[in-house]
Amino acid sequence: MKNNKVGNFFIKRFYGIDDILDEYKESQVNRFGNIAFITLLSYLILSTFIAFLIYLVNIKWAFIFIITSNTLLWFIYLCLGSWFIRLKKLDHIDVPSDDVNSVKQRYLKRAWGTGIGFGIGMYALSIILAVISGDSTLHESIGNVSNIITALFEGVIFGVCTYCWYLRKLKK
Amino acid sequence: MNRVREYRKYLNFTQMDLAQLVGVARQTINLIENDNYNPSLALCINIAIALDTDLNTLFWEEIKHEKQ
Repeated sequence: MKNNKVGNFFIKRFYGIDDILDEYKESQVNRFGNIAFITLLSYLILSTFIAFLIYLVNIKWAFIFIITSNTLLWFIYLCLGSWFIRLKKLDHIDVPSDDVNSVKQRYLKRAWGTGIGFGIGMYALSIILAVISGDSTLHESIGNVSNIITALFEGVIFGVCTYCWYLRKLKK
Repeated sequence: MNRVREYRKYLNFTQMDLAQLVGVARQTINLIENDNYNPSLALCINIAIALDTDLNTLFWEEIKHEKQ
């Protein structure tokens, strides 16, 4: 039997599998991964071609197209992956009744981290987009209060959603 | 339908007990018992060993041919 601990660690973290990664879960994850790989490769070829066509007209819009379509694709895959994980019940974990509180605490910490990471990521992305599109300079974008508040709000919402998502995985 | 559930109950094992013995998740044992997943030969052997029986007893199904 294969014993690829590093690979398994990354697969479990990526798909949010907290329990053991057994042969059933591995086969389901591999199936999803294969389909994702095929569609992503097709997307890569198609988006590169479209970006090249846009580049012939305007280089700025080619950049914006790539960044927007990639972000959109990331979001779609996030939704599809989450739906698949729920559908196949790959993320369910059995928790004894007396351990529920400690597991909830662990998930709360993780949700905090996820929310903060997402907020910072969105803040950085908004700065990059503003600078590339020429709407404002780097200094103006960094100090923009509206950007900071939006990122903070997005981070909080994402953190709360993540925590709710984690709680749904628990099976007492 | 396989006889994993029958033998597990005979030995007073919970699904979690059996899952821990063979090194899989409880959900996987549940799927196997309900015939929703075909386990690998290695896992079948491990289950058979854990339930102190053999593969044929657990998984062999008599195929009845209808006479036309």
